[in-house]
Formats: sequence, C-alpha cells, structure tokens
Amino acid sequence: MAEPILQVKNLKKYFPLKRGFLAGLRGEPERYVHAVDGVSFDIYKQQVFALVGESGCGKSTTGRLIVKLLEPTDGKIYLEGQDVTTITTKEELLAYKRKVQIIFQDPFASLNPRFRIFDVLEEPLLIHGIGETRAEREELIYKALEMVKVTPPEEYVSRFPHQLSGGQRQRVAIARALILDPEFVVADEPVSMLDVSIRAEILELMKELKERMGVTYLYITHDMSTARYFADWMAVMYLGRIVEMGPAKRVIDNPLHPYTRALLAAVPEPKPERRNVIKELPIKGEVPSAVNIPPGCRFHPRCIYAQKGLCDVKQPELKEYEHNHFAECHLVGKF
Amino acid sequence: MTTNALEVKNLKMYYFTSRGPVKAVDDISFTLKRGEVLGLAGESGCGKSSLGFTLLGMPTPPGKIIGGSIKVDGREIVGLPEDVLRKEIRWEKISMIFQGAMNAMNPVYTVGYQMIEPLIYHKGMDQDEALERAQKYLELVGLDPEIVYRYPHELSGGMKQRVIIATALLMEPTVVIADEPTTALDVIVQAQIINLMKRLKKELNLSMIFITHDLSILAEISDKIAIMYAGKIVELGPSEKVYYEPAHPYTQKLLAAIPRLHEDVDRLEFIPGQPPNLLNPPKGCRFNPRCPYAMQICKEQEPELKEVDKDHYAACWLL
Amino acid sequence: MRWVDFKDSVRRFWEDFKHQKAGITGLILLILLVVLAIGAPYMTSPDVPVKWQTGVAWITNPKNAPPSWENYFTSQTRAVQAEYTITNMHVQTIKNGTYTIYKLSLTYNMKYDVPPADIVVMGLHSNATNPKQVPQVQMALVRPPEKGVKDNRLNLISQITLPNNNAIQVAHLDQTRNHVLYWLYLNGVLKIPNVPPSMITPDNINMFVMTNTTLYQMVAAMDSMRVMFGRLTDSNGNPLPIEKVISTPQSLKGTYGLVITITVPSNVKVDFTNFKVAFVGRTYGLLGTDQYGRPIALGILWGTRVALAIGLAVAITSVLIGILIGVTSAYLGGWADEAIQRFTEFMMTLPVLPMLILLSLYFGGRVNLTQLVFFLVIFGWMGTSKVARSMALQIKEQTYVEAARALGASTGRVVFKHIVPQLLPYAFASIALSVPGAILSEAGLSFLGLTSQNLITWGQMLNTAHQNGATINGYWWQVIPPGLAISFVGLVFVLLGVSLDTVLNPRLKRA
Ligand SMILES: Nc1ncnc2c1ncn2[C@@H]1O[C@H](COP(=O)(O)OP(=O)(O)OP(=O)(O)O)[C@@H](O)[C@H]1O
Ligand SMILES: Nc1ncnc2c1ncn2[C@@H]1O[C@H](COP(=O)(O)OP(=O)(O)OP(=O)(O)O)[C@@H](O)[C@H]1O
Ligand code: SF4
Ligand code: SF4
Ligand SMILES: [Mg+2]
Ligand SMILES: [Mg+2]
Repeated sequence: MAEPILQVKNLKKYFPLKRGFLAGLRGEPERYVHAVDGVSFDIYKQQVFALVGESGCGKSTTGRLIVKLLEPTDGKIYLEGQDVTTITTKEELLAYKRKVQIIFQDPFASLNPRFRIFDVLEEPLLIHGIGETRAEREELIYKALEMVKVTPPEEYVSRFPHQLSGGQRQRVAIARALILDPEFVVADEPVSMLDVSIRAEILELMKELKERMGVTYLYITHDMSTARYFADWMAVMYLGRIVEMGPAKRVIDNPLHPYTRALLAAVPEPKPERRNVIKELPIKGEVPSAVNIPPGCRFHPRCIYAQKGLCDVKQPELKEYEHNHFAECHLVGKF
Repeated sequence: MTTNALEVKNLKMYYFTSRGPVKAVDDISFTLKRGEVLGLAGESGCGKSSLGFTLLGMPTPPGKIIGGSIKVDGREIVGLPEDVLRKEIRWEKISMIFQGAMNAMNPVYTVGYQMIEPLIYHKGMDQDEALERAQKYLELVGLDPEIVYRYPHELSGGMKQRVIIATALLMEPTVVIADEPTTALDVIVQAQIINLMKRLKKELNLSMIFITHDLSILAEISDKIAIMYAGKIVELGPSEKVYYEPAHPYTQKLLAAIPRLHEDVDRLEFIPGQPPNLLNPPKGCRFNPRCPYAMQICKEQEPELKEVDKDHYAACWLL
Repeated sequence: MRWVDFKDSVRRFWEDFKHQKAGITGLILLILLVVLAIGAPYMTSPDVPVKWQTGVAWITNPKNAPPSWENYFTSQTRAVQAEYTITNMHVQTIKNGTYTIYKLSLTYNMKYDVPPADIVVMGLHSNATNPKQVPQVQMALVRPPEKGVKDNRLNLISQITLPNNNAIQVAHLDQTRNHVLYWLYLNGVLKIPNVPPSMITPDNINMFVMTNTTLYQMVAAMDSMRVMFGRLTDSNGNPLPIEKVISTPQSLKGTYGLVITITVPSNVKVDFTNFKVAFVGRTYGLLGTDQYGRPIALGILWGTRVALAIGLAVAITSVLIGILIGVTSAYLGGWADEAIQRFTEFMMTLPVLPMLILLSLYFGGRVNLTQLVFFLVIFGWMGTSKVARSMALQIKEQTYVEAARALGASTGRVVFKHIVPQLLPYAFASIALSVPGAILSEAGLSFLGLTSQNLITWGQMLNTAHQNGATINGYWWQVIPPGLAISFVGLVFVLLGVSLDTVLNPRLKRA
C-alpha cells in the first residue's frame, strides 16, 4: 500500500480543569481532562477514515488537533511524512492550513451570520491571497458553489446564511473548506444536524468530491451506519483512546472489542417485526469522566467480560488480530 | 369492545402569525388502541411537535385548533375549557415528554421538587404523597429513588431523560406522547431508553405516540407508523407494511435514504429540495415539487388518504 | 479591507438602511440637529454665549414672558416684543449754537389687549467726558385720537440723563408715573377736589394723591404702561371712572408715536449705531424668556451645540474605549483579563456624581467642555467594556471563528472581521443610549453649578428654571423646551441606533 498521507502517532491532549483560586493556593494538584490519550493511526490518500464513538470520547479534539486548532500535549502528526507539530513560522502554518481543512457539525454556527455567502467563501481566498482581483475571486467562488450544487451561484452569493436551508448551509461550509483545494479534510459530524433525507445528499456530495478533487477525509461521527456507508477505514474511540481499528466493513461485521460490539448492538435496526423484543445491550454502567480514567483497561468498569486481576490492572495494547484489523483488549477471541 | 385510547378526526391547528396562517396540523385523523405505539416521523418542521401539543389541548400561541376532534379514552377534549383540561385531562389522561425537556430542567431545584411541583399545584396532592409517587415511578424507569434529592447537573443525559419519562407517567395517563425522546442521546443510552419504553408499554399497557425524524428508531418500537409531510399524514399503517411495502413515494424515499448497518448500499437515495413553507404550501399534493413521479393531477388536486391494504393508508394519486 | 470592498459594503449597508423608516427619520433629524448646532452662530450672533451670562444684554426683554403664540389660545392678546433701531426712526437734528438736539420719532402699532410691559431706551453712546455733558433725554408718547381726550400727547419723561451703557426703563420711573397721573388729572379722570388747577403740576401731583388713601393704594398698584396705552373715556367721550382706568384698564388700540428728544452740548458727539428702543412685550418670541429675559429659543438653539458635542464626544469616546478594553481583556485572557476586570469593577463601584463633584472642585469648581467630556468618559466606559468583553468571549468560542482560524485567519482578522463587526450594532446602540445619559450627567453637574458658565446648555437652562420656581409659577416654557430638547436628542439617537442594529444584525431583518 502507498505511503499514508496523514499519520498520527501517540497523540495526546489534556485539558487542565479549572481549579478554584483557593485550591491553587492550597497547592492542590492540577487535574486534567484526558480528552485524547495516546491515539495513533494512518490515513491513506483518497480514503475515508471514520472516527466513531460516543459523545465526549475525544473525536472532535482529535480533529481539532489535526487541523491545528489545538496544540497537542504530546505526540506527533505527520502530513505527507512531514512533522507538523513543530511548525513554528506563520508561513508554514498558513501553508499547512491550506492543505488541511475542517467541516463542522452545525452548519448554522459555522457560518458567520453577518457574512454573505460571498464573504464566507471569499475569506479563505483573502487569507491565502488567492485571486488578485475581486473578479478573479468571484469566479472561484462561483465555481465552488457550482461544485457543491448551490446553483445558480449568482442567486446565492448575496444571501445571508439564515436565508439558506440547513442542507444548503452545509454545502456552503463544504465549499469553503474545498475552495482552497486541500488534500485532507476533517469532517466533524457533517451530517448529524441534518434531516435524514438531506444527510444522504450531503454524504453523496462529499463522496463525489472525494473522487473529483482527490481529497482524503477524516470522517468523525457517532453513527455507525453512515460510517459503514461512507468510510473505508474506521476507528472506534473510547475515553480518548482507539479501542478498535480496521476496514470499516470488517469492524462492523466482525467486531473484536466488547465496546464495539455494544455500540453495534445499540444501533437501531429498521426491523419492525422485532419491535417487542427488548434488546440485549452487552455493556453496563455509564461512561466515566475523562478526568478520572479507570486503571488497567479503561473500559473495564463497563465491560461484561472483564477479568479481575487482569483487566483492572494491566492496560491492553492495540494489536493486529486480523490483517489490518486492530483491537485493544486482553481477551479478543476469548468471549 | 374497548374504547380506543385516542381518536383523532380531521384535526386542524394553524399558527396565526402576522404573515398569515401556518398550517402546521392540517386535517389529521388516526386512532390509537390501548397498549399500542404509534410512530410519527417526518422531516424537521413538518408539524410533529405541533401535533403533539395540539393533542394535549395546548397549541403554542399563536396556534389555534380550528377544527376536528380529539377523543381521549372516549372523551372529547376539543372545546373543553382550560381549567377542565388542566385538572382532568392533561397528565391524568394524556401526557407528553417534551422535545429537549431534559436540557430544560431548572438547575436550582432538586429533581424531586421539579417532578412533584405540578402535582401539588395543579392536582392538589400533598407533598409526601407526591414524593412517594415520584419515587415509585423513578424506580420503575430504573433509577435510584433517592435521586429526588439530587440536582439536574449531577445526572447524566440518560438519567435526566429517565426522570422526564417518570414525570410523564406520574399521573398514570392512558396516552403518552414522546417527542424526540432520544434525539440528543448517545446510541447506547438511546437503546437503553428505547428498551425502557418497550418495557413500560408492556408493563403498564401504555399507549404511546413516539415522535422522531429517524425512521430506524421508529421501527424499534412502533406498532403503527404515520408519516407526516408538511402538516399532513401522507401514509399510515402497521409498521411492517410501512417498512416493507411503503406505498407513498415520500416514505419510499425516506426509507431509501437510511444507510444500513449490515448491508452494502452503492448509492443512498435522497430527496432533492426542501420541505415546503407551511405559510403557503404547494397546491395539490404537497410533495409534488420534490416527487419524482409527480403528474399533472398532483399539481392541481390534493390526494386523500386511501386504504391500500388492510389498515394501511396512503395519500397519493399513484395508488 | 480594500477600498473597493469598503465602498461596496457601505453601498450595501445603505441599500439596507434606506428601507428603515425609523432610521431615515433619525438620520434626517440628526442632520437637522447638526445644522442647527453648526449654524447657531450664523443664524444668531457669535457673541451669544458671552451675552448669555450678563444680565444687561437682555434688559430690553421681558422677564418670564410666555411665547408670543400663546396669544392664539388666550382671550386677551398680549403685546409682542417690538424693537426699533435708528434706521426705523425719523431723525430730526436741530443745532442751536450751544446744543445739538436730536428729535427721534417712531410709530408703534398697538393692537393688543394688554399693552407692552415697558419701553426701554438704550445703547446711546456719546464721547462726553464730563457728567454735565451727558445727553439729556425727553420722551413723549403720541396716542391715537380718543373722543373726549383733549391732548393726545403724553409726556413720559421731562428730563433724564443717559450716560453710556445705561438704559432708561420707562415703566419704572416715578417721573413717568407722575406724568401719567397728571395727564389723567388734565383729562378729568383723576379728580383732585378743592385744589385750584393752577397749583397742580406733574411734580407735585403725587402729594395730592397721597391725601386720599383709597386713591393712593390704587395708584401704588398702577401699571403706568397699561394706563398710558389705555382708554380714558367711554365711547361717548365721557371720562371713565378712575378705578376702571387705573385698576382694570382697557387698551386703546391704534398707532402710537414715540418722540424722543436728545439734547447734547454741541461739542459732544453721539453715536446711534447701537441705539435701540424696545417696546417690551408681555410675550416673547417662539419660546418666551426666562427670569433674566433671556430668550428660551436662543438657549435651545445654542444648547444643541453643547448637547451634541458633549453627547457625541462622551458616547463615542467611552464606547470605543469600552470596546477596546473589553475586547483586549477577552483576547488577552489569563491574569491580564483578571486585572482589567477587577479594575473595571473598581471603577464601577465608584459613586459617579460625588466623584464628578470632587473632580470638578479639584479642577477649580467650574469645569470647561473638554474637562467635562474627559470626566464623563472616565466614568462612562465600564458598562460597554463589560458587555463587549462577554460578547467577545462568546464570539471567540463560536464555531465560525474556529472555522476562520482553521482557514488560517490571523488574530487581527478574527478581531476585526468577526468580533468587532458583531459588536458594532451593540456599539451603535450603546452610543445612542449613552448620548442622553451624557447630556443628563452634564445637566446634573450644571445643576450643581459646577460647569463653566460660558456654555449654554439645556441642563443649565433647567437649573435656572428650577431656581426660578418655574414649575410652581407655571412657567412651562422654561422647563418643557429644554426637557423636550434632551428627550428629542435621545429619541433621534435611539431611532438611529435601533435601525442600525436592524440593518447590521441580519437576524433581526425581516426576510
Ligand atoms: N476546550 C476544552 N477545554 C476543556 N475540556 C474540553 C475542551 N474541549 C473538549 N473538552 C473535553 O474533552 C473531552 C472530549 O471532547 P470532544 O469534543 O473531543 O468529544 P467528542 O467525541 O467530539 O464528543 P461529541 O460527540 O459530543 O462531539 C470531553 O470530555 C470534553 O468535555
Ligand atoms: N409558535 C409558533 N408560531 C408560528 N409557527 C410555528 C410555531 N411553532 C412552530 N411553528 C411552525 O410550524 C411548523 C411545524 O413546527 P413543529 O415544531 O411542529 O415541527 P416538527 O416537525 O416538530 O420539527 P422538528 O423536527 O424540527 O422538531 C414549522 O414550520 C414551524 O416553523
Ligand atoms: S481488556 Fe478486559 S475489560 Fe478491557 S475490553 Fe477487553 S475484556 Fe473488557
Ligand atoms: S400525489 Fe403525485 S406528487 Fe404526490 S406523492 Fe403521489 S405521485 Fe408524488
Ligand atoms: Mg464532537
Ligand atoms: Mg419538533
């Protein structure tokens, strides 16, 4: 297989908890939210890598680290083999941001309400000094709108975001990310705020653009079904760590980790004949706080297979069990 | 023969806004038997929550019920004065789990206080009795009864939603309307809540209207499904029929838009365009601007609900 | 931002703004205010602020007179101010060797039920060095003919000196009163029995009047002006009873003449350029006068200057400073933010009025305009800064700001393209709201007599009215116009602020 376009190695991000002034004076230790706690993965060109997991498991933080909206506490990120965590100069940073873009979850919140669509799309061009004249930029903007099928562009450029539907807003957000012709795009739950009927449309669009523009996506979602549909690879996150990773279909059809199994069991199925069956959910309890990470396997308080003396003391490692299919569990295959 | 838990006939509720009436609930009819769950699905803004509020006899202003009938346990509630509704119907006969209610809990009161406040003020129950009842239902939804003394921020999302469900059950209503009860929750919590509702349905013989925009959740629990589009029910029938033999083009499209967990789909279908503005919905079939099969007649005349199979209705000129 | 983009956004702004009725109204009114403020010296005279403070400048004006248009609403019409300069008079110069005599005559159309309150002669300038050479003035009123009245010429002043910078106020002269009494006597209205007429002169008539107590009381309360412009006889030419003539005079309407004779030694030169004769009205101009005779309308007009200057200067400066401090604080974060916030709160807890008083006293008890603006800004930026900080903090966390940063936007771009524009409507709204506040603060300080008196401000006008007991005496024109002026300016800025907010904040815009 080709060289990966993006590599993440042992990435960590700890957010310090706000500590009271007095607590600080008393010398209480600083505490941290372990939002991302040692994550590694490779993403190959023109592939879609899905990051799935429950709310708060650190998916968005990982995405933000990659686009350098956050600086990692530890670990490395390589783009095309180059370490980007050590970027210091403004020029390098700008050059990086031109190659790596992000699409956010809420298409309304991600567009400045006082910017017209034209201004929204002009912003990246102005920042990166693309297009000498307004006319040149206008051409690029029209092209971008056509690309995301917000047509005819002249009808939309002077509108404000609130004058567009949710789907159209998300298309504009996609156009903004793609107008710089990036190589890598982090799509942070790009469809989860949209209606089901529109979701499909946006996913189709992103798929088409992937082919046309050769972009590679990190697709962040909590929805296993769209991940299977859209992604080639998939990683399941739990409490800041990847617990299972592999080809999307493999992970879904043959989950190795108990947490993945629980997640999959919980996905609603459109099978009305099973409506009176109470579903077995192979998991117990609730997600612990990312401040106090359980020792050993961080999933053990919720794992129905947990073994005393093993799972609660020894942290498992991410190991390859099938070809390209990794899991982080002591007991893979033993339940 | 037992009476139906809920009978709705030709119900119409419009919002009388300064720019004209918004036809959010437009000529809706259905029945709900005891112990039955009706799933109500449709795109955002099609009037699902509006229908829920209307069934409670309290459309949000400037909404007004302008016609039709709602019979709860055989009793007509359209036209009942507000104080009768409040004393005898709401929460007693029909209650609602409001969309987003779990995030609207007041952070300065204990959970218990928030649960029993309406019992004390509206039903004149004394505090101990109300608290005891609250604890009983908290236990029923799988929570520790001691939770009554906790504050909302001490609870997780799933726990809060359980509290909201327990609150809706406090007066032992015949019908519970659950408006997007799982939307903001994580998959696992969502599955747990759905399990809880299935259990309640069985144990309490509860009738439920389950509102969501996610068709796959509906399949998990509904006996009957109603598909709403632009203020109208366009298809209504037993779950299996609606899922496996959808009659209305809109339903077909909606179902084809859901990615399946264990199936490979090459292309997802989607419905181009967006739902109409309910201030002036399109003439004829309201779906005609987005429908791939639209014909001349669809633009001129509105189709009525037709029985396409036993208990399976759809409103489309194709049928 | 480049010039074309700027022009373009201004054009787009105007496209939106011109549909705002309230905004356009506000804009027109603001332009009007600015025109008034700038035009005041040209419309009136540039020395008004100096004259405002000196009582003599307003000697020809009635005191506490209501506006002239009140006549339309009252059953009795009251005299309106009328003033004559030398150009309105007929001048006859007679030289008889040792003296030069100027005979000035003018005509006055008295068409009111209540005649003028006074006749004032002033502004005569001579180069006399010795008190004996000071011009001597005589004055007579020529009344319209009235049936039964023998002599329609009434002497008002037989002789009085008029040094430079002095004025003659006829109504208050004993001489005039005596002449009026004598004239009443001559026309058979005032009867002095048992005294041969040859014994009675204008100079001693008062003595005879004093012998009759009821008559004396009546005369003491007499308004000579009303009598000299009043009827003496009934329609048949029979003398009216004395009580009627003195106590309830009925005006004799018609054309009057006033003859002023000025006698100076021939070596003395007199200069008439500033010479002025005023028939002091019972009503005055558009908005009446205050207790010093200063025209309220003039004060309102000039007050616009100070109001706009103080209001805009204070509002704009304090809002800009507030936003600057707030945004900086939000952006710096950490201990810098903490320090700025504590300082802001400290400033907020200072009691403003006492601090202003202390500052004013420290700076000499009477602060000028610049100092006043400075003080009001010192105590005016905190509210805006608090709000600006919390808005900036909120905006900073918005996803679209994150999106911009992900695109590579610099801090400057984020602040000036995303944060500041969001604050603009708020800034305009708070400028609009601070303007009346600043004007009121000025009024408060003026009320306490702490502002420089060479300013004409609505606050000081209210203060004057208050000292004059305007509300108790019913001098509404001294209170309502400055009050309305303050609210009017407030309204103008609110209209503007609200529409700017609507235009700049698309969520409020009607689709
Ligand atoms: N800026 C921040 N400061 C402090 N804590 C943060 C910050 N951003 C995220 N966190 C915490 O880090 C953890 C991971 O957050 P993150 O947003 O990455 O989760 P997520 O997987 O994207 O969840 P969701 O599905 O809800 O978007 C959470 O516990 C969150 O509270
Ligand atoms: N109080 C109101 N006044 C006027 N119009 C309203 C009001 N409440 C809702 N509407 C309109 O009525 C229509 C139906 O709204 P409703 O909230 O019932 O939709 P919904 O199907 O529940 O949507 P969602 O899935 O977003 O909750 C929408 O077009 C909405 O804009
Ligand atoms: S390591 Fe143990 S606790 Fe962790 S997932 Fe595997 S079996 Fe469960
Ligand atoms: S009636 Fe016509 S437009 Fe409406 S759904 Fe049927 S075919 Fe489509
Ligand atoms: Mg997230
Ligand atoms: Mg709703």
